[in-house]
Amino acid sequence: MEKHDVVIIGAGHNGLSAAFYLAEKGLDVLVLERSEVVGGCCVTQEIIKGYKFNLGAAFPTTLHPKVVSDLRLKENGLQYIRSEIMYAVPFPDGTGITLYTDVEKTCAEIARFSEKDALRYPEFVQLARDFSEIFDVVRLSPPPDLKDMFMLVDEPASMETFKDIMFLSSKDLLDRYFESDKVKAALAIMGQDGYILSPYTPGSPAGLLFHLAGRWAVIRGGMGTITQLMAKAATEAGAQIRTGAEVARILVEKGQAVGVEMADGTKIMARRVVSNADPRRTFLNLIQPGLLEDSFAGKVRNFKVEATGIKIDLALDEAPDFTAFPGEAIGMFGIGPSLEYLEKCYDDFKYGRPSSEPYMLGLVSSVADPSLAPPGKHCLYLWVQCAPYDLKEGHWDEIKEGFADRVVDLLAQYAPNLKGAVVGRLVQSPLDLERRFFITRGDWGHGAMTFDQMFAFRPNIECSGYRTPLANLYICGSGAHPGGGVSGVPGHNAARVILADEGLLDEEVTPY
Amino acid sequence: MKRKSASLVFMVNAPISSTWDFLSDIEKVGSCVPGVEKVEVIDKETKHSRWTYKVKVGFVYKTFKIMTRMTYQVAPEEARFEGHSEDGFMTMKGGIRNEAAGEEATRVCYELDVFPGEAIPASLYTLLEGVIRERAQRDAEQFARNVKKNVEANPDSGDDQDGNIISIGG
Repeated sequence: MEKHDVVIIGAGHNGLSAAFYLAEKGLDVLVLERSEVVGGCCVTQEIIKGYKFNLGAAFPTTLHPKVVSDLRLKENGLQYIRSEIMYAVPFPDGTGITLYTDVEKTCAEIARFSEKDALRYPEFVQLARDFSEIFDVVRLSPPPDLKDMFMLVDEPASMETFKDIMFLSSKDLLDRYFESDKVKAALAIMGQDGYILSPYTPGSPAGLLFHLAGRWAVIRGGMGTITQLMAKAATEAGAQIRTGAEVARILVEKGQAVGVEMADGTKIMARRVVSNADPRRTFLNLIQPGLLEDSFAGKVRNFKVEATGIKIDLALDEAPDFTAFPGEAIGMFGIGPSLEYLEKCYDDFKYGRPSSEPYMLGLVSSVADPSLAPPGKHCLYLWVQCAPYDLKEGHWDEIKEGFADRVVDLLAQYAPNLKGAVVGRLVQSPLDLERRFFITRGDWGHGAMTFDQMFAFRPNIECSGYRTPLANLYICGSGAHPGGGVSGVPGHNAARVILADEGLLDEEVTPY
Repeated sequence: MKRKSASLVFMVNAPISSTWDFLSDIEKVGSCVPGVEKVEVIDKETKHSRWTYKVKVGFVYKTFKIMTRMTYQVAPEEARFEGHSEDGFMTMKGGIRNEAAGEEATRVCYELDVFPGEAIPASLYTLLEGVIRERAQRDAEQFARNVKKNVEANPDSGDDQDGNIISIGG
């Protein structure tokens, strides 16, 4: 019978990251990927002839520099294409704001709307950078206990900031710094990407601050380049990767994981089993009922998993020409003209309806990387919120194209040339995302990124440290700390815990 | 628990005697360490002192009161010290070794081990290790620059300044 030291279920970026770190230390690692390609939600494919779409994730902002360095991704060809423009926000009245990576340039832009806001912007950016710096540190370790986190922020200035980020809403925070509605909306837009919390909800600033300080860039060749290179790093370290290999269940004997059973009935034994699947899939689908305590299974069921949007990819004959930015090649933009508009997107969502006036984030990646489309043509990625997985009326398979038509109509109000430029499209509803990427309820973060589901509570206290109630079973996906985004970090952290259990780590990784 | 350390070698364009005079003066040394706000000498003989040290990581500020003492010294070549924060958050050990590199230059080897103390709860241990690992070497390099600036009659200027600071590890 086939046997390995470690079997990893799923070749998404975290599974590949874990595979690298484990194989590098000499373990015999086998990665089993259900689909025919590696990469999970981080893949680029030519769906329409000549046009390469990022079928899932589009932004490398969360990719951790340590993972990039350890896996030698840049040395093997990973190229970031950075733009001086972070993103642009057009408004219905024909005006627009451009946010630059250069703070001074952005201040000059904001000053067109409010001189006072322009003076406050550097301070706000510093807050975002401070948050990002501490989050970068917290990401790379097992999650701290909440009570212990308070020990770190016991000085008044730290406590104030921590309190603001945890308990204020994005609106509260933005109101403190800025007076212009347009400026506030432009900044809030980034915070809503994939976020289940509306801008008026307490706890919402975290997403905003993290993205504002983010490493904005496009990856040459598409996001799939990241996972292709991660797979290369893992195989060069000695890991095996098998695609078209569906795991049907995790084998458990006497309370410990001993291997996996494939869909075709084959069994593969392993000393340790690592799941890159989301927590619900891992614990409720891949493990036979009755092998986990009811209380634990209940916690897994209660772990909120919810798609927030619908993905629309458009193949274009020409780039969108925004009324607010005439003649400019805009690589990234957001549609959300006010905080109230952004908030109202969530109203329909709460009641089981796709937003009647959705917010959207758009990336014309071919502006930065022309290799993604035929010469002079463009790929437009749209992430549109909000779109609930469960619909009160209708079925996504029946309504998604109509919804996409409305989205294109809406965007055409800002870029009148758009409708005539579309030569093809791919619409992925939450149901489609679930089907394509095997992610429960279409949530590619593997679980909502709300404070009650972060750090020591992600996905729950029993397995937030990557070990699970079943001995030798670990989780390494986005449903574990620090959460979603293409980072490779949950995989890195889980691997370190496994290496500690194998006695292969120099320093002790404190069990949590 | 593997200790986290900073380790570097730097050249000071000054005689070994004046380099030693500076580096054995606790208050002067303290003024060169990034984050140190105050040094109180408790006992000049034994070189017991209390350092007020503030560290900032993102929006998190922590102020530590660190008690230090010299454990060994042979002028002008070597000194070793150890310390601990009064709240039990961290402990440290370190030292310098000086070698004359001609009449007007001194080669200084500096090492520092810092590690989380017993007061650190288990869930913060790895996190704080990461902070220490990231900061210790960087701050040691700045310390070296500050020492050079203070000791040398004509501190290095221009592009080659950091060429005289060689990081060994951290």
